[in-house]
Amino acid sequence: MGTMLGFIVLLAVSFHLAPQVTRRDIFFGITVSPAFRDRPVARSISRRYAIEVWTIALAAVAFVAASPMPVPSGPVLLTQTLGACVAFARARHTVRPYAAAPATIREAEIGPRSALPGGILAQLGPFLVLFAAAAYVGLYWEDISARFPTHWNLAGKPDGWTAKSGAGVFRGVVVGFVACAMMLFTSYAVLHWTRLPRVTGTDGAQSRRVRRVNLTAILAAEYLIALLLAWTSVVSMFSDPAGPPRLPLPFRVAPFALVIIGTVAVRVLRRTAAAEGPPVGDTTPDSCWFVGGYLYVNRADPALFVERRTGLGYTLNLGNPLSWLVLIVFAVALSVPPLLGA
Amino acid sequence: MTEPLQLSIVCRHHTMKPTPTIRIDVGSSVPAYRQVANALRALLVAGSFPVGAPLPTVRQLAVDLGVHHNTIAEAYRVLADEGWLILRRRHGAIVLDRSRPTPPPEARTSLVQRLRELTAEAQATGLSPGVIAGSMRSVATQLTAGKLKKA
Repeated sequence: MGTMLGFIVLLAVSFHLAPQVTRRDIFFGITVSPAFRDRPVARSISRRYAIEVWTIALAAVAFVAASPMPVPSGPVLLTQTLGACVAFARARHTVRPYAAAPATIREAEIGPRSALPGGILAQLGPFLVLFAAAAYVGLYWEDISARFPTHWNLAGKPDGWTAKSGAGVFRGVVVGFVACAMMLFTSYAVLHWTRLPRVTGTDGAQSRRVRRVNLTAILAAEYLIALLLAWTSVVSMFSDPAGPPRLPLPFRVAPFALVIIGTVAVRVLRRTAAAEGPPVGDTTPDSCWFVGGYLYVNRADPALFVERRTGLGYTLNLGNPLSWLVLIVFAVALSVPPLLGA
Repeated sequence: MTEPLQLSIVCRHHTMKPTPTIRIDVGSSVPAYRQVANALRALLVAGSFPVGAPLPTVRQLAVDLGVHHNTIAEAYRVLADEGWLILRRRHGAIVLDRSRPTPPPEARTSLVQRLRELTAEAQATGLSPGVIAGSMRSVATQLTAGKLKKA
């Protein structure tokens, strides 16, 4: 139960910080004047949103604590997520009357893009880890258990098993390769096919740092996936079926920790910036954001990815035909590993 | 109608070479492609790009400015026609060595006419003749200083 409660708190912290990591002219997914956040009405909206997020978290905690039987984690966390999304949508609806017209100034640097974090070697690292795990499993094939765990619950106990077979043994590594390849593509696309809202002054430096944090977070996620799947290959496949190992706590906590750390880092960066010169606006109009500001559709925007209007990261511009190709390729790639075991 | 020149050069670190930037206003009555061409021309005149250096690809710059790629393509074509760039398929736009051409006879007349239109526009916004003249003297001084440096 302690693990479940911990995850409920981590999720609540993520949702609490999500609206605070956007630029000052974006508030709950709506374009506002940069000074709006400091107004009493904005503080009131933020306060109400935070109260709702933590009330939902407390309700989840109370439900888990009071339940006489173990509660499955998936439905609880999903319900908490849906509740937080509703709270966000309510806040967004309240902010909408204060929307400001986005600035019409656009800036661009005329120069080469910087490299991905860590350079080529760091970017290839996750693939090398997975390749090494696949090679190890291939070399010691005879020593693999006839049956081994492939899925663990939040408490780290195995709850899914697979019999020894070519597909079963290598499925994890294949999943890792596919996931890391998708994330590497996303990093490249973010670096080359997204736009910095501002490139000059303190805000420009801040925009570049925020993008760097996002790219570093993606790389960290790749390493996490590679190490996790390498562990399942190298450790769990050779374990005693009578006593399979629990999934180490770092692997269970790391995804949430990564999101929290990245969010806090961006939050700190956003607070230290000061707007200079004429306003330089987000080139993604409010009218092109849907589903509470989570989906972006703008055929007139050539960007493939744009900064999300809440939380960390980027989202596809579904108005760009290439985005649908990306989605189709991702969907096909993700469907390959399950088919391996079919 | 005179076209506002929008140019900004920023220095990211005091020991680093400044990264050239351009700025346009998509809400302006001046077509976006012309603003892009004007801004790039100013950078080319200032020597911000060495001869042979590639400019960003049409699609790259279009993404960065949030405009259609045809807008950037047209801006590059304008500059290529003026002799600043050469457009090569698969290599993008390359900066040319454009020595100062001999100005046609009507160039000076056109310049004076544009300056008159610019001052009239500035006066219409409420600026005094003194302020306008002072601004023009400041620009002229900077221009002359640049010429003396090269000499």
